[in-house]
Amino acid sequence: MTTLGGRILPGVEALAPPTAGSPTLSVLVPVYNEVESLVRLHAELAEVLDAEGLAWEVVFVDDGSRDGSVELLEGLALADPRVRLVEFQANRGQTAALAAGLAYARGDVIVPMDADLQNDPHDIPRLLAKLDEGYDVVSGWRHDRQDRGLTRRLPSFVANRLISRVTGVRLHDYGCSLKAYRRSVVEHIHLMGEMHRFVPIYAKDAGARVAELPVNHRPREFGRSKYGLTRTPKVIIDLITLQVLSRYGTKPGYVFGGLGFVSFLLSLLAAAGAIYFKFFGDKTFSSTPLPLASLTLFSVGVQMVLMGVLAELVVRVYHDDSRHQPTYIVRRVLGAGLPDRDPSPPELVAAPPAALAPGVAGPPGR
Amino acid sequence: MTATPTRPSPVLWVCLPTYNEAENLGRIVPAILAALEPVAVDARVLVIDDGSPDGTGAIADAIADADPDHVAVLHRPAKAGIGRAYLAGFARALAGGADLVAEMDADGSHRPADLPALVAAALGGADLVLGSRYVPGGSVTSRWGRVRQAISRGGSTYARVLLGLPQRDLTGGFKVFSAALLGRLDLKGVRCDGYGFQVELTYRAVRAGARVVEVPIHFDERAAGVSKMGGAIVLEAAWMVLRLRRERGSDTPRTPPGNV
Repeated sequence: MTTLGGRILPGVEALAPPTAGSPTLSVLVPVYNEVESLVRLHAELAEVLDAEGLAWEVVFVDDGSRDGSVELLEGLALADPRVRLVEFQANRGQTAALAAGLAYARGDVIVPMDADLQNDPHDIPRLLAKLDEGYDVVSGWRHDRQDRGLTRRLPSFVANRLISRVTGVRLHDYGCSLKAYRRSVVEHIHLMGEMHRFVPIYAKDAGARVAELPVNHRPREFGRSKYGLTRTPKVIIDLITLQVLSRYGTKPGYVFGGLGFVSFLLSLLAAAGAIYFKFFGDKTFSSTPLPLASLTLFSVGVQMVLMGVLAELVVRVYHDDSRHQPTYIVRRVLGAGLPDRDPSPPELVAAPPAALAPGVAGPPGR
Repeated sequence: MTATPTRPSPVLWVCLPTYNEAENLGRIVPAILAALEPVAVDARVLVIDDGSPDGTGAIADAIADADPDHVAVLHRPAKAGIGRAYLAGFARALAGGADLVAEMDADGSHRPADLPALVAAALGGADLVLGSRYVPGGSVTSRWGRVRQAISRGGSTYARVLLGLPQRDLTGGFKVFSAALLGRLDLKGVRCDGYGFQVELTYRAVRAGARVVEVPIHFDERAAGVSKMGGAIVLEAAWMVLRLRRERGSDTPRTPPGNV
């Protein structure tokens, strides 16, 4: 089944378009070896969201599963025009999967969630209602979390306190995948590394109104968790990067320049000291380290200021460059009415919209 | 908040008609159940044996005795064609509470590994899922010669054009039906056998307004034993397509179904 290359949507001629136009809600589900949950998850989503009368779609991003998840999703995508499948060539991690999901999602509201059924689709209508109260981001809070304490919940508790303290965005549960975003808030965030958990922080930085909502959390029935203790240091490093970048990301000259001036100042002090000792302290220039220190500090200061200039240049180039490379390569995309929202389709997308069978849902244009 | 109660999984019966498949049966039944293990269905295999002289029926009984929850056997006294065997199997499966009914060859040419995708498509809302060799991603064993390939492809094209069906692979026997669709079809009125049976069922399904989805499969060489394909089956199918076509003229033609 999983031959490489241009496999695309065959034979959905008998399926008429379900709704014209774009869905209002896109559920994003990164998938990595979750074959046992997928059919149930799809059924639950359909049940809950249809009952709400929503125009919805679900974008499954397969992150290099090797357990048959892709084949199942393929079946679902062929049969249900509301299902889209984005298949990665290789495992690229949850953040990349979410970035890809965002690129292919068409809804005005984006709801990411886990594939393992621990998040409850029944919470989605509540998240949407909360958004309607005037928020741009609603973050789920697994207040009754069904995971092991020592290796999962304790590190998570510490991390959440730390992140809240450092960033000033106070959330109880940064690790909860189930959230709801307005598209406009997340559209321009370039997701990298393990940054997906920090999306509310980016959003808040950009002026979004962020709320929190307790959500259901169910024990894992199938499969295995992909998280362990190794994640903790990564989170902390990401946090530092995030802080530095969000504070100084557009003005690195201030950081280096500031350090440079401190260095100049110290250099001056050292020079003054050397001169003082020479004439009043009865020391030669060569008997104290001060002249040498002064010279060194001076040249460090020069380096720092020049480095600041370089950094400013780099930042300008970076922000000019809109061609941010995606952190993933898509093998193929499967599903009805293919990308009409993908801002910069990655090169290797195997399924151009034109190759779709006629009569498939949704016009490719906006 | 309380956890939502888990609903019972849909019941899937995989119908496996056999005639002298003693060598293959012991492999294919466990392979089917294993392939369906991760899929959220309650899977059963129904072996429909047409009195195979090579003892296939006894082997089937042994497998069923070892795993009575998942395997059942339907013995039929004599070889009466694959179409009759399937119809008997469908009736048994529906009586057994099936939500989904699959057709599959027992000889190993239909790979159990492809079954989850077909089932997922059915669970995803299709009334009829065709395992298709002739859609992108589908393939046929390289051990088929040009002639055999041409017959197979030509047969599908012939039926597709004459009956005005959009599907690419009409002669394949790797399918999943929803029980609701089978209930709507007039199974007693099905006349054809062999390839014709497959074409006729799909044709009737489309006419009944079914949502038909093709899922790519790989068609393998049979693992062991001999094929029952022959010239007579091909001719019968060709004739039958013409008959179906004539029938179509008699009532108002329906456009392919819209969304339900």
